[in-house]
Amino acid sequence: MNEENILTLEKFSGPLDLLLSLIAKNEVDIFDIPISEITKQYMNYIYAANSFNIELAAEFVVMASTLIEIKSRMMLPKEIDEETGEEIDPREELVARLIEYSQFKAIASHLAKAEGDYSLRFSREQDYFEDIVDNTNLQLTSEMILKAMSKVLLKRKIRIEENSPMLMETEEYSVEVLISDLQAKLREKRRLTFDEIISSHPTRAYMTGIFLAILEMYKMGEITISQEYSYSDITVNYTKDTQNGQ
Amino acid sequence: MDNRKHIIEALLFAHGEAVKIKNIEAVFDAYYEDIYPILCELRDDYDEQKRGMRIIITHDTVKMVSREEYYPYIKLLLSPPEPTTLSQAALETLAIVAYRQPVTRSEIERIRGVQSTSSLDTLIARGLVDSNGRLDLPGRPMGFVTTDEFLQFMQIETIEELPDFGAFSGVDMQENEEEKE
Repeated sequence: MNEENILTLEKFSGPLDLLLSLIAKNEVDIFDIPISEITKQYMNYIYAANSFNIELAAEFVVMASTLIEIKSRMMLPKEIDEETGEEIDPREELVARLIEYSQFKAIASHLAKAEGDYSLRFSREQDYFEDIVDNTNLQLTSEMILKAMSKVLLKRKIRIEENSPMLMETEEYSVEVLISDLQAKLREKRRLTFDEIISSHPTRAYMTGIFLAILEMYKMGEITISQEYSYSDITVNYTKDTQNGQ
Repeated sequence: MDNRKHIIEALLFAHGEAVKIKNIEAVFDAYYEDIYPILCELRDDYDEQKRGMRIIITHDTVKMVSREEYYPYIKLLLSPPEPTTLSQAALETLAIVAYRQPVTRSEIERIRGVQSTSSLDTLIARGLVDSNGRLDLPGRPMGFVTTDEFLQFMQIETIEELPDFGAFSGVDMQENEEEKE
């Protein structure tokens, strides 16, 4: 189980998450954080994580500088709040942030439970009818139209990047290359539907190419093809190298 | 005998997805106060008999869905997509939107300490979060709110029914409200 000890930042959703985990691990009071020790441990994580998402890294480094600032303020003479006459704890703001964040983290795990059930419920898709009632006061904004359009395009995995020029490219595929791609995919998955195969590049050129590749592979006897009824999804089964116990 | 309950059942099945309660009112030329109790009765009938379907009611919509405990059997018949789960980052973002709505992206990022654009995009694409226009704050930032789909997700009728987590931890959830930029 040594692998668990490998320092990795990716399993934390952010610097606050990492701090909370250090506080929990050290079993210290969140209202009296031993800043010096926690900062040291925090920095170990930063140093150990040399290869990862640069944007995420920046956010971890910002927190590191906050910790160091607090640590240095702890060493200075105590500041006094002029209104209340009480000592100012340099850790106060960080503690407030940690508590606020930890609440949302707790709520997040509650939501994860709700999601568990939610994803197991299905409803019929509304494909035959349009609502006839309540279209009278329809107020459309350009944002709503853009959103509707993006939703349609998202289904086909095409994104509209805001303000980016559209590039029209002709794509060319060779059937040979597509066959070897498909073999690689099928070797792993054994069974794929036509929709799954084309979902990565839903363009006409790719669909045509991959369709030819499927026909070619069928001719070579590497796959079987089945379809439950007309227009339903086509399933491609790989029949080559089935030595692993199938 | 009042057969509106059965008519509504037929409406829910034929319509699919979530039906606006307003539209059901229009069918019967009745008021919300007349329709809502019938919806509850229908829901309770389904629950008492552990029917294959359930009725999920929110403030605005009502929806007929398959009962989650029968999912394993559905899986034997169909090959539904594996339940997709939201990432920890997306769940944290959803939690913040749910309890602080309408909330700006910068407020979400202040609380989480990390940029949250892609989490928000995921939640919007899944229909759980939506923007409700610009807020009356400096820079007129976009405000994010949860949707009716989120209420179905939580199985609650209104956002006020969300569990009060502030009470659990003894820290006032609204405490930092004035810090919003």
